[in-house]
Amino acid sequence: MTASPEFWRAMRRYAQDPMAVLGAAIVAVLVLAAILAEQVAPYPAHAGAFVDFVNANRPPDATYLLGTDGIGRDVLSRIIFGYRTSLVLGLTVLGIAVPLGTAAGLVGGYAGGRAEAVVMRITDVFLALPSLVLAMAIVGLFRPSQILAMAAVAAVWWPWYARLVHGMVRSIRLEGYVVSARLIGASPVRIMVGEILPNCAPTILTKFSLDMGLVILLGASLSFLGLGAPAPIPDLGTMVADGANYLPDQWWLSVTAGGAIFLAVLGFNLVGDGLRDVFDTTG
Amino acid sequence: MTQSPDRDLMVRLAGPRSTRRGALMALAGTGLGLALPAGWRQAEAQPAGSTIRMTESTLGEADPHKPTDVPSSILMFNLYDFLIRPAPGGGVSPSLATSWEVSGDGLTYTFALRDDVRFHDGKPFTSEDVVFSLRRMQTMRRGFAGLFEVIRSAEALGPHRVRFVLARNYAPFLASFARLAIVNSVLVRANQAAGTFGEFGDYGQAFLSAKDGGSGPYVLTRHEAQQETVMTKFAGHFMGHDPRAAETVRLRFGLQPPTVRTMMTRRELELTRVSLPPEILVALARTPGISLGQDRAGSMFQFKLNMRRAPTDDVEVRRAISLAFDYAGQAALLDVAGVAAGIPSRGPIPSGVMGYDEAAPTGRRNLDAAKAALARSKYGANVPPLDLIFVREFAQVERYALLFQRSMADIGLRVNVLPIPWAQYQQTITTAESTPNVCCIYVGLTTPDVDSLLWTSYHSTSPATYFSAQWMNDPEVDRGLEAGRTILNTEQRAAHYRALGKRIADLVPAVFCYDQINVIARQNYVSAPTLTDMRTSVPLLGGNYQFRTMGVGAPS
Repeated sequence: MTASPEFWRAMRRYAQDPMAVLGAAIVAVLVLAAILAEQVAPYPAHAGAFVDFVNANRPPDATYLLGTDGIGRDVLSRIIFGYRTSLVLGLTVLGIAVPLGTAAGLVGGYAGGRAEAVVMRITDVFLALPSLVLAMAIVGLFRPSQILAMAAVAAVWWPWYARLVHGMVRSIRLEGYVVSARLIGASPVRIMVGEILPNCAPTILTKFSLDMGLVILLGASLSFLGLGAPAPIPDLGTMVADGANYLPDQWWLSVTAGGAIFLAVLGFNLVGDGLRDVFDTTG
Repeated sequence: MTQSPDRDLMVRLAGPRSTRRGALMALAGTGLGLALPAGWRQAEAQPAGSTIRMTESTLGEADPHKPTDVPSSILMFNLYDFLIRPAPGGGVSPSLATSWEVSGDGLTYTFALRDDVRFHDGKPFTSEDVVFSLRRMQTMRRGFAGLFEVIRSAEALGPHRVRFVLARNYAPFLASFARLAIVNSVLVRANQAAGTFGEFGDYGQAFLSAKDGGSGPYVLTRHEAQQETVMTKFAGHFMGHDPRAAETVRLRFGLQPPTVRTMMTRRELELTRVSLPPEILVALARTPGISLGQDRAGSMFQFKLNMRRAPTDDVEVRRAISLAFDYAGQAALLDVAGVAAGIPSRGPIPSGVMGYDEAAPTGRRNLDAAKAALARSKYGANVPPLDLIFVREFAQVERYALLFQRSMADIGLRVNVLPIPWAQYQQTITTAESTPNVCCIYVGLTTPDVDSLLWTSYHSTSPATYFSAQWMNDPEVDRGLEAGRTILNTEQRAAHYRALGKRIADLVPAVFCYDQINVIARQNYVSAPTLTDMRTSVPLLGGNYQFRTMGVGAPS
């Protein structure tokens, strides 16, 4: 998208929605915290190989704002680094799934015929697989690692984009400007990328921001089941799972990590929500 | 969480915004509500009657000739009887056998048997049952059958006399009988199915896996995976029970620590066995009516170092690891609400066991010496990263694994920490090639004799088990272990094992962290002498869970 007057009008509309602004603020704070984790976290060393059993299980106080875990690590620091893990997961997964799914949807929707049938049936096969179960199978086959977790989530995520884009392309491809482009001899690739894709972009962007929250949530589910990042890398889902063992006495472990996931998902959902409203009205 | 993104998107695109936000908020509220504590509710007094309900990790193997783990050993000790029972403090005491004579050359053992014992179905116990049980063990070759390979012949000399002839001198012989459960030969033969053992069919394996064929103080009445094992008191047991012994013992499987904590508080459990995280034990210790106890099972916690895999194949690397480990750092973990969860180890033999050397030093950190050892190794400064595995089910082990990781960082060693499920753990250690550099594990005595721990761990011919994950192959240690089996004089034997323990420690096959004391929780209305009084403790895999000696009073 270019910074056209239309874009600025949309942004103004977005700024008038307080919930959307709140979402954007949450996301901005989280992203900044994740990027600047070393500077922001009170105890950056606690995100790595660190043990201090003497200070284990301290409830929240002035020294450790969100308390410490059973290993004596500052929970707040680990949450901040955990955001880094979660955001990297979200961006990587969607970085793979969105282009892949969009390309599949564009080709399937524009080409039609046999190509469409093949692409969309493959998509359907992936859609039929329960996402968490497939991701668990992929991760379970190998050593749990972040790369694999990302690959697993991406493998179950792209079909939704394929189907979304496919549907839009089907309705757009007979629009006047697409037909005109074809008549003046534009290549299929040019038509898809230059004419059709920009019209799908707002919807993809909306789904992208909504999905960030969902991917973070699925990543947390995987790590809750023990398939997340290896120790000692902080991982919000793992923190919730570990903390759940010590409820209700060490309540701060799972409540704060669960709250952190909640906050991230809420932020991205509010942003996605705001974007949808803006584009719905302008589109 | 498993909601499909697509359906979610459609809801988002179609649904009114306020509703969804309301739902999000409601969800948050519910989440917090759930997080608030079932355990904080007022403890409800539930009459326990005459029942002991105990947590157990998994369904035990009821066939008494197969067990290698704790749940199965507990079943074996309660459903069956033995010629000789392990005694408190590590010795043996008469049981089905009233006395025994040993020939001058130490090769022939003649046992006099009790004539007043009946099996659960009423059949009198005779020497035929002993011979049958031994043959069954030797033929099936499961569990600790290796303990009985040394017996060349077994012969019933009369209904209540039996004679064993050994192929060679074998000092741990009497102690081995702690693993030879006596089964009802008539009942097992009557229930044998088709199988590979000729006239013995399947040797009654299918039958004994689900029912009991013993004479022990309890009778197996229910045995279902995913649910529970139920045992009821056998009133006709020849040794009798504690006057307040439980009529029923129920073993519950797979309860998560927070559930155990809640159920203990509500008096829905009498006793815990599975190791609980210290946080849970501390909370239970603070709960009125609940006390902590100690299961001293002669076990140790170790980081086993694979001696056949780079870089732990170099003794200097292993020495460096052993010198770099932060032994002081574990001290905070070994104190659970004032109850000791372990004492620092002094080499490969646990305290209270023959050959334990009280003069040997406990582990001590020395980073300079560790770095020097590393520099002497063939890897020099370029030591590749170590892989470390621990059993995911043992939640508290992760802390030691992280302590290890942290300790090694101080001498520049990188450690990949990998939690894996127990089933996969056992798969991983079947060959030296697949065994990672470092395996965190608890190991312990399986018979009252020190040989049962050292041979299975360090003899080059011992089968691949979680005991042997260091893959030692040292001719001197092999010879020492073999010699230890032939020394019949107790004092000489103790001196021999002290020296052997030192030789093993010099090879650094493991970081010897601490001799484990499993801290358990019990309701105060349950008396469990073996878990509360060290003098009655039986240092042996599952040896302290003999329900015959436990009592249940009215909950106060």
